[in-house]
Amino acid sequence: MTRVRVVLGMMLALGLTLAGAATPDWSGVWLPKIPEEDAAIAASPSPWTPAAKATIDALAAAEDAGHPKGLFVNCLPEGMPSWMLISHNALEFLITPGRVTMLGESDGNRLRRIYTDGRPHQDDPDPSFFGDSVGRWEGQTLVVDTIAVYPETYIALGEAVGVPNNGDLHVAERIYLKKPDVLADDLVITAPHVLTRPWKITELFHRVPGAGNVIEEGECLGGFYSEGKDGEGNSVFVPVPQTAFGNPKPD
Amino acid sequence: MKRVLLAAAGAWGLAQAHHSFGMYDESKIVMVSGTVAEFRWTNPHVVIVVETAAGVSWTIENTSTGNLKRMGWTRHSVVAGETVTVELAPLRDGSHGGSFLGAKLSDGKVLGEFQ
Repeated sequence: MTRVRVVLGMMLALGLTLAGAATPDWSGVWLPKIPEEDAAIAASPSPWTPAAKATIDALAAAEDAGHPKGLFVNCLPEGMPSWMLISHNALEFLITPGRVTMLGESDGNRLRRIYTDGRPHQDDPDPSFFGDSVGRWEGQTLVVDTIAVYPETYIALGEAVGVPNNGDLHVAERIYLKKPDVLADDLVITAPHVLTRPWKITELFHRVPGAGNVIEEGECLGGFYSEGKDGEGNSVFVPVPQTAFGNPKPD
Repeated sequence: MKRVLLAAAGAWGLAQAHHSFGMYDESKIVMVSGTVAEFRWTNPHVVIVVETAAGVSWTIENTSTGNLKRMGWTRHSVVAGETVTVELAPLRDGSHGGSFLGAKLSDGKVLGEFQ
């Protein structure tokens, strides 16, 4: 009987740990502030290689001249690390046993699964937009390691300025509450084909108070359509012409 | 990096997902009065289409539904058929589109920052 109690006690303790009893309260909805994103980049400029810097400068000049390159207008995900760097939309965290899930608003394709159950990286993970992420809790800090991101995925400073990481991307993060309602993500981005050294930058996210504390459904392709009717009177989505910049084409 | 800051967003600086707003000239403000032809409450960008009395159609982009809801908007904030005056940052190429800055509705209600 005693042995049963011990086993049950161990299971309970393990269950509590896996259930997140010791994990922080990251409930609710979190928003970045664009001025803070810009300030973070200004305070810690990305150490581009000369070739990458030339591309970045050309894209910034094009955007300033009114010809922004639409890095994401194809509606493929921003991926890592750009989601953490340039998103202007809300996100939420689901902390469940052995896993933290990040879900983003507006574009419908922002999703990260971070396994915290002690598993290592997959032996040979398929590349993906958000990569293969494993993490662990160090107290109230989530430590995340991400590999296997598509080489085509951008390291972006904005929606029109960025370069593909070109392979061998590694992102290390420490995510923690800087204040009760301010979440910090310390990123160390290693991208040897476009950065001359690891790029350290901290992004902040603010917990939304009150009624705005809800994530709205959104699909990146949603703006390509409007609600309408077909010839039989059925409710259908009707294509909306877009410009090369990604905005709806005026009549 | 050029990013349109919605005046109503204040310190959040809620700009746009999905695409840059560099195609809009932030240094200019154009005022358009007319009838709301469409109010597309959709993501990643809400769109208002306004038809002027002269028959010109203006397509005006805004931020996402989530961001707008947090600023007090709903899908009923603008109604097709009502008269409205919109202030926008115009497309640089001169075509009839813009980035939403603010609006005054027929009942006097103001959305965003209306000069």
